[in-house]
Amino acid sequence: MRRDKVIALAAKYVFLGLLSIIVLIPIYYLVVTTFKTSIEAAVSPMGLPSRIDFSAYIDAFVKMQYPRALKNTMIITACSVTGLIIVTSMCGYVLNRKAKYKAAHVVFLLILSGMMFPYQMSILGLYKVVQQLNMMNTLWGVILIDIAIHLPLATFLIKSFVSTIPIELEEAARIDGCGIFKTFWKITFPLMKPTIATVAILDTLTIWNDFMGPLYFLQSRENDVILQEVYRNVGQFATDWTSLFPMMVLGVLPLIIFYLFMQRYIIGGVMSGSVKG
Amino acid sequence: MRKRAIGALLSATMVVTLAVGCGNGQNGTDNSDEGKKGEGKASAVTMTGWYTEDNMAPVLEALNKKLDGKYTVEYTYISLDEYNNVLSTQLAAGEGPDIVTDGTGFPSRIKAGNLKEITGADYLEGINDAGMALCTSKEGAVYGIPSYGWFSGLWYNKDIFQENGITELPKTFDELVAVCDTLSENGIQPLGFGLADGDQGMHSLMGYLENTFYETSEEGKKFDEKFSYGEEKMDGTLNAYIEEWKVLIDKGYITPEMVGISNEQALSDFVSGKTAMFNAGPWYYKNIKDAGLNAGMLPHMGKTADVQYLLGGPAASFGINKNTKNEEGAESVMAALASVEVQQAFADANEGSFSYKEGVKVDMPEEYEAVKPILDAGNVACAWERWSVNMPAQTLVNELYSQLQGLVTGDLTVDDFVQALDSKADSIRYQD
Amino acid sequence: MNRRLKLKSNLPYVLMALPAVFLFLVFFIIPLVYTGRYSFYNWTNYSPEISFNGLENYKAILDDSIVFTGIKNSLIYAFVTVLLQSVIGLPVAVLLNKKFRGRNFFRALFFCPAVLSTLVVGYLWKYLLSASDYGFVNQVLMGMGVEKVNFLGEGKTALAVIILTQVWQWFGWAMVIYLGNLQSISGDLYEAASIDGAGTLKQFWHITLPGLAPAIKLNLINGTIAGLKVFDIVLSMTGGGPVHKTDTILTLMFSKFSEGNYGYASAFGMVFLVVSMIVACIMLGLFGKWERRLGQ
Repeated sequence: MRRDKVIALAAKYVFLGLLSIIVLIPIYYLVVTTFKTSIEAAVSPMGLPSRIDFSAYIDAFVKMQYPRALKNTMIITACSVTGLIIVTSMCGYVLNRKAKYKAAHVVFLLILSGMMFPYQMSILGLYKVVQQLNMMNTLWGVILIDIAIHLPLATFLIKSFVSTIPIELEEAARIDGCGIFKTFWKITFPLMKPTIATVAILDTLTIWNDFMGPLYFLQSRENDVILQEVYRNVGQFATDWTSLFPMMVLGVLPLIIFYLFMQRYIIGGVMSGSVKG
Repeated sequence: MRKRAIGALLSATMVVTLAVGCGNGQNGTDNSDEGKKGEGKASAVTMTGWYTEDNMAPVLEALNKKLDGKYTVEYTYISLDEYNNVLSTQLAAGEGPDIVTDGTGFPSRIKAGNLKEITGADYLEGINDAGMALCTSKEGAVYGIPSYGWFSGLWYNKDIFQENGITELPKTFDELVAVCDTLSENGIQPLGFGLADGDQGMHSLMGYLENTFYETSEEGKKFDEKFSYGEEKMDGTLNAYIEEWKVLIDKGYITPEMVGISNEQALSDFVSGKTAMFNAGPWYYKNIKDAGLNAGMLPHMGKTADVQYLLGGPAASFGINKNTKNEEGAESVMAALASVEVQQAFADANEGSFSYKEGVKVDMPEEYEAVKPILDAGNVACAWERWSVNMPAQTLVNELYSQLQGLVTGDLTVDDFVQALDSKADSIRYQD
Repeated sequence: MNRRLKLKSNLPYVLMALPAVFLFLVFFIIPLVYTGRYSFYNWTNYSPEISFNGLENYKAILDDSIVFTGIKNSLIYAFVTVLLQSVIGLPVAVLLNKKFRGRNFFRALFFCPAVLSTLVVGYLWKYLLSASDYGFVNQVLMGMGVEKVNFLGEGKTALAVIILTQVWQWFGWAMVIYLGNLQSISGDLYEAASIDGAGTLKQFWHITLPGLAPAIKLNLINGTIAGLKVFDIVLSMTGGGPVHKTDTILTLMFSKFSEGNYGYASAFGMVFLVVSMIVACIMLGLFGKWERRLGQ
């Protein structure tokens, strides 16, 4: 019996170890190639680099106009996520508490349908709308689009979560003379924290990594995001193809750092986002 | 513990948002101010293109100098893959840069009514007819100006040729195949194309067709215009010639592996001496030079050595966006773009290119020794420029990249190949 | 309560729901309506006059064999990717659900690729899988005495490796969703089964799997719908090649946009809408059946 357990445990570690290697190899390759010349990388792709030289990173940093691109990406992500939380928490709340009304049901179904089809199919229509609103090539345009396209899932998560918040608390507050708005922000909203964290995490990941939106709605370079910088540079002809790798690393670095620090909350967020489905 | 951390995360997000939110607000006002500046101080004229900012830097410098502070040009790079897409979407929505840049697609911008007519403008003086080909409508109205002329040929590694005893440069396609044979016997990969996203294979094929069909027969000279208007089909005309060129595939000099290789990888193979030749133009000159490679360019080859043509034409042409809000500025920029100084800067920035403007002096580096007489004779032409009279030619070019992959992998026969192109052409011809 | 009073008392609620509804209408529904309208128009980049042309765009779509390749590829991509992600993600989640040394490390590691941008992942794998000399995967294969594989140069292998890179990137996400669900399965069930003498496999089959129904449903449905939208990875790995063999609905739609054929592209968008609706309905129907069976 004990021997069986040892073997089972060993098998488990071996399996997980192998899987880890498969996960790690490409990431290792991504990092290690940034320090190599193309000839070195061709001869031994997995070998350690002969020297650690950050000049390629500095080069990439300058070429990508990194601080500006990073700032734009941060603005878009932070504003979209915050905006998303504000509008969906209110909407999800109302749709739950007023579910008995037909109008609420219709609105909910309408928003839910947004989960079924990608916004990319109507991108030209979207382009027209953005242009008519005079928001072309502005960060606000992308922010509002991001809020709109991520709104269905967030509303859905929040609406289901609100069911778990006892309505009595609100009723008590109302009797104490609190208005509807005040009751929501003072009583209900703080209780939504877990699901709001989930929404924040899920959408930070997707909005940060969204490439199509900025590509179509941000044309000038001052307004572009990190991934556009990666795309414009990696698509270039380069004699030394390894010089493209630092840009790829810089492209994913901010989220990796965010992940390293927030790893438990991110995984927790995705986890709790799921069960509600 | 966990709750507190989430709280902290949330408040951090809020703070960041507020902080950057304010910053963004300022950006917003900046933008709107820019639009209102209009007259008065140096107002900005916008322009996009697929040349990187680094590439364009000397041109922009010459341009802004010429404009003398009255206007400044704001240039934005868009990657070539996305260029047509982004520009079309912008123009269709009545937006886009003040100065519209396009290559083969320029006639389709004219067709679409995106450009302002500039017939008779002073600055058109001194630009030759060949340069105006893409900028002039069928009726003779002028909508733009060219920048410089591009061409393509066959880059070869001089050292490899020498080491393998190839002293006589090939002058005909058969001689080229013989060179490939020799190199291949000596264990060297003769050709290296990136067919995954690349135009190198297409230049090889179209270069052969230019020299054996388009320029050498009466039928060939008229074919493309008729094809463009749907009066002729590729199927039944080009099959035999393509079959001849396909020797390169059948002999294994163009391999299915190349379908998995990108342009830049092929370039990297060439400069590292792994492959001996590849079809391209001066746009790789700097890469090749920087790598210290001893290389030269040969023209595309056909059956005989008496007719030799390079593929080529006007690289980028410029026009004024019909919906520009800064018409005066755009006019000034056009005049500056057409000036000898700026045209010279274009030619200098694209070493090995030629100019359509009188008064521009171009030095041909020694790498172009073999193609110089052909350039001087003006033997530069290309099929897709001719297609563009009645279709968005770039679309057919893209289809050609795709279908060529199938020809190389053996999935398609030559008949399939030309039929696919015919059918694509049928679906994109202008109708009116 | 009379109608007006009722409306008045509900007004704050309406106002609270309004921003979301407004944004959704403006940036989601109106563009959709625009697109639907354009799909019946002859709107191209090179014909500034837009005119109604009935079903012409839809006819052109039906005539184009590449369209079917694109739809087929998107469906294959969506189903295979989503299945493989779960086939790997679910057992790994079960392994990582029990407490042992290194559990959190493995969880964090397996989820890590999901944080990377798909565009960068595509570029990265393009280099790893290259048929050129420096392609690592081919170097390994050749080291083992296997012939070089032209992964991205052949339609079938290209689609296969595109799928595999996405399994590599997203199985950790599926795993985490299963982990979340596993926590809600009561330990008592396993204890009771143990007492009844049920082995590990039997427990997995009769307790774990039915217990995971919500997560399986979520993973498969969301994964399939997301899979139909595949774009970034194809763009960065093959650009739809060779010979359109890895083109998907969205890459084709965007090439139509690039060509300036907006009416056609809009019609394509509507076709896409129909395809996703059908897929979603089928999936929901199948799961409904499964859940009813579990319920009995």
